[in-house]
Amino acid sequence: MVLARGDSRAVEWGARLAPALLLGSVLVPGSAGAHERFIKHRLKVPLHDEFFLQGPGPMGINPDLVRIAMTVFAILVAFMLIWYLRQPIDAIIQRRIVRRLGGTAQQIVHQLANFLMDKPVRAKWFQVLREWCVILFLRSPGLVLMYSATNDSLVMPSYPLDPASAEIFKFVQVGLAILILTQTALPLCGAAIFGTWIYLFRWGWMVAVDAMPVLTVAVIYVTSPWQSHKLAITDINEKQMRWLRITLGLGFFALGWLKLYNHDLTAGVADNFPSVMNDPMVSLLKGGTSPALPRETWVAAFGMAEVMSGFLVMVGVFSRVWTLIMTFVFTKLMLVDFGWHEIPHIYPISAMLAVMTSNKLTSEFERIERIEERLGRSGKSFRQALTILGASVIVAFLVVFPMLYAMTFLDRSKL
Amino acid sequence: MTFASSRQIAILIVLTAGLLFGIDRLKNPRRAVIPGEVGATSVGADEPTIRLWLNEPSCSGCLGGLEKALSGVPWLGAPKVLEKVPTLEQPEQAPGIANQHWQQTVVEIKVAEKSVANVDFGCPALRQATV
Repeated sequence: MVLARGDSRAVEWGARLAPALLLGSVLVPGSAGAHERFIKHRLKVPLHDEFFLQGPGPMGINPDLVRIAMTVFAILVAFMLIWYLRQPIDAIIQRRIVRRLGGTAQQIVHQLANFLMDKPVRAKWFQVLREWCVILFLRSPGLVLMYSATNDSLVMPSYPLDPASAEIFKFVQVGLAILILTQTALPLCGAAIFGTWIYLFRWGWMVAVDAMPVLTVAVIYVTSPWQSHKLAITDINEKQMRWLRITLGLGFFALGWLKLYNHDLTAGVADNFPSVMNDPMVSLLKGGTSPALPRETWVAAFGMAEVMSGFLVMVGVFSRVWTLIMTFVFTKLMLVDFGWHEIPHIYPISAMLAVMTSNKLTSEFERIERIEERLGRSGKSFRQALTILGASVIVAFLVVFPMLYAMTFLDRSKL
Repeated sequence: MTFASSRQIAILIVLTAGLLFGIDRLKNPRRAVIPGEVGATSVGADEPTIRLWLNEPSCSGCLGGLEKALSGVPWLGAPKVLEKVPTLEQPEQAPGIANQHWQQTVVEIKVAEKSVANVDFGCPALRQATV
C-alpha cells in the first residue's frame, strides 16, 4: 500500500488531493502542505503570514489572534464553570420548571435537561436512535474504505495510491471493508487500522495527525470480541465510550492546531468555497477582530473552534452539546459547502452521533468534582467556589495560550 | 466470548505496519519524499520541463482549450501530450507503464533556456490557463 509519489514535494502532497486537475510541482508551490483536503484548496491570494508569527502585540502575538484566543478562553471557562454547577442548576430546573409543567411537557423538559447535561436519557426513541447510531458508526468505515478503493486511494480520498501497487491494496482495502461490514474479526480490523495509521507517519507527521479521527472506531474494534460476527453490537460500554470520546476529541484538538500551523491550506479551502466562512461559531470567535485581515482571522477562529470543541469532547464537558454542534458543522460542510467530495465525512459524523446518543458518558473532571462536592458538604463554600473557578481558569489557560505562543515561533517555510 | 489480549493487538498492529512498510519498500524502492526534506530531481533535469497531470480530460475540447490557453503564456514552449503516462514515482525507470488507475493525461511543456529568466508563475495568462 503505497501512496502516490511525485517528482517533488509539491506533487507528492498535492497529488493526494485528486482535484479535477493535477498540476505539476512547479505550478503548485502553494499546495505543498495540501495533505488534508480532497477538495479544491489552492490559495488564490497569499495570506499575511506575519499574522501567525511573532510580531507586534502581547508576547509577540498578533492582537487579533490574542482576541480570538481570549474569546475561546472565556468560552472554555464558562462551559467548565457551568459543568461544575450543573447539579444545582439541574435541581433548580427540576424544582421550578419541571414540576410545575406536568404531563408530556414535564417529560420533555426533563429529558432535554438530561440530554444537555450528559445524563442518561430514558426514552424509547432515544434508545432506538442510539442503537442505530452505533451500527452506523461501526460499519460506516467499510463504506469509506470501499469509496477510497474505487477512487484509488488509501483509507481516505486524500491519499491516492501509487499505481505501481494500487491494485493489491485496493483489494486489501475491500477485504478489510468486507470484514467491517459483516462485523467479522473486529479486533483484527482495529489492529489493521492502527497499523495503517502508524504507516502514515512515513508520509509525514501531518498526514498521521490528519488521520487521527480514523482511530476512533479502531478503539472500539480492538475491544470487541473475536466472535463479533455472531453479535448484534448496538451499544458501546462505558469504558469504550470513554476512549472513543478521548480519541475523537484529541483528533479534533490536534487538527485545530494543525489548521493554525498549516494556515495556507485552510485558507485555500475557503478561497475555493467561500460559503464555509459563514459559520456561526467561527463568526462568534472572530467577533471584534480587525476587518482588514478577514481570511487570517477566519483561519485562526476556525482552528481555535476545533481546538475548543475537541478539548471539551476529549475531557467530557458537555460532550453531547459539542458533538451536536460538530455534527451540524460537518453535515453542513458535506451537504451545503463541498457536496459529494466530502461524502467520506459520513464516518466522523457517525462517530459524533455515537457519542451524542450514548447514555454512558463520563467526564475526566470527576475527581475535581468530588473534591469540590466534599468542600461543599463540609460547609467550605468559599473554598469550593475557589476550587471550581481556579480549576476552570487554569485548565482553559493551559489549553489555549502556551500552544498559541509556541505556534508563533514555528517556521512554515518548508510546508 | 473471547476478547483480544493487549499482546495480540500489539502483534497485529506491528505486523500490519510492517507489512505496509515492506510492500512500500518492495514495490516502490525509491524512498518517499516527505515535507521538509529535499525532494528528488525534477523531471527532464537536463532541460526545464513542466508536466501537467490531468484527471480524466475526456470532455470534448478540454485538452484543446488547455493548449489554447497555455499558448498565451509567452515563456512556455509548445505543449506535448505524452502517449505513455509515466508513474508519478518512476518516470524514467518505467516510461512504458500507462497510468490506468486515474485515467490521466500528461501534458509536457519545455521551457527554453533563454526563457527561464522570464518565468513568472503569477502571470495572468497562466492563472487563466490553470483555473
